[in-house]
Amino acid sequence: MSQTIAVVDFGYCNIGSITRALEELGAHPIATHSRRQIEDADKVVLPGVGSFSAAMHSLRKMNLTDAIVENVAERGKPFLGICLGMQLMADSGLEGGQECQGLGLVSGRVEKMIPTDSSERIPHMGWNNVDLAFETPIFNGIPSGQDFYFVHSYHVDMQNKDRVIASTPFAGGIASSILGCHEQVWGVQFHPEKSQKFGMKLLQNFVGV
Amino acid sequence: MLKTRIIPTLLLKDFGLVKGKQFDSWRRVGAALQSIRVYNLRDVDELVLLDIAATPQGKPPNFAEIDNLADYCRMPLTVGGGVQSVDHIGELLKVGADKVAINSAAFDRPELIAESARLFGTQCIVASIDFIRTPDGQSQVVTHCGTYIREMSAPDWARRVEGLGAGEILLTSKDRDGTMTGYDIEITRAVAEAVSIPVIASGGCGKYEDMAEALTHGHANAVAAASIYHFTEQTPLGAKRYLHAQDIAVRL
Repeated sequence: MSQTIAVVDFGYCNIGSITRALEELGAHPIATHSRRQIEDADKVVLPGVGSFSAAMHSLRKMNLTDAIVENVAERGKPFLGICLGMQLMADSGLEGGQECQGLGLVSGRVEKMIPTDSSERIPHMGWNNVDLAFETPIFNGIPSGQDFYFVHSYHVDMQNKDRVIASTPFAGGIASSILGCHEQVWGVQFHPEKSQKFGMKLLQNFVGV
Repeated sequence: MLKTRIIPTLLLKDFGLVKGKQFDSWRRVGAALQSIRVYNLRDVDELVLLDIAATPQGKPPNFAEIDNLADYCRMPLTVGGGVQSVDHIGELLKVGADKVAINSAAFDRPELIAESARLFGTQCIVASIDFIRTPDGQSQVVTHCGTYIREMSAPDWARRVEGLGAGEILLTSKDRDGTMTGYDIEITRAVAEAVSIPVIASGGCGKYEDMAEALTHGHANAVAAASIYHFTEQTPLGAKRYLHAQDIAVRL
């Protein structure tokens, strides 16, 4: 039987492309905001774009923060946070001077990126290389330095740099993939579902773990 | 490092793709789905898909058609045309747009940009700015597929939309559109210098050298083009090879 992957749907967000990509790879994605379906699923994907505080507010209102943390941190389900979904893994986010609590699946804080020279424009938008620091199953068969598609204005400032799987040369260097509270909790700042061949490879690896 | 994006623009009108000259004299250039499939196979960086008939005809975006097309799009997709409200934007993001371009409605109701940026994030709100040159050489914003002339220069409007929360600017010269005589470098540069968000140059590209010019002298962050791909043998990959040889970072 194909794997059930709960794709957490907490509001406005293009989850169509991620569910379609997972379907193509033979998985059984369910776009859901039901605690029960997250509990029943084999794996959890948290996508998202936009504002950290608005997303956390939405997750809390739907009673999904506990469901995610229990299933991922306590019961050890494989997890993939994409873009804002990776940022939500952090302890907290700083937005417009306000601190907002995150899911706490990794120690770090989300902050606005600061350009290091005038040629860098925020949002960080487009294809940039993802340089691997160490190997982890979702990057199997993906060489270091491949281009993936990014579109974001904030980044996760990781407390423990040993959990930074990959970094990307922008705004002085940002964490483009991170490892969370256990070895099957991943975050990617880029959009694998929009990153063509190697993006699909990464999702296939996630489906396969 | 961050690569320069080479973006094909697809213009939808009624049930197919078209390309015109100076926002007029539309010629049919094929089917949208077929084009998207080809660009998928060619690993294009990103696509812009604009329904040019929607706003002039007072119609909302064709969500069903976008939904169908987005299913086949394995690359980032910006969708525009007929976007009038926050609900339109939410619906387009739901059916598969990664970014939504707002043009005429933003000029009539600037708070639409602020509202949508707050709800969906600045990164998915593209301000599409069309402009012409006045006889004394100044830029002037036009809306409604170029039919309304507005009392505002392109750099002034760009500054304003950035302040409202737009994450990117798609800057199109109506005068150059479809002429294949090169981008309007001067205005592109003036807009790029006026804002600190990415600027996509559009309108007038006829050869790879024009792209290099828009990127180096025009200070654009990406180049959009249509006629060059419809009416010549030139391709996005060919453009990237050329730009790479000019020391411009591209994804090959």
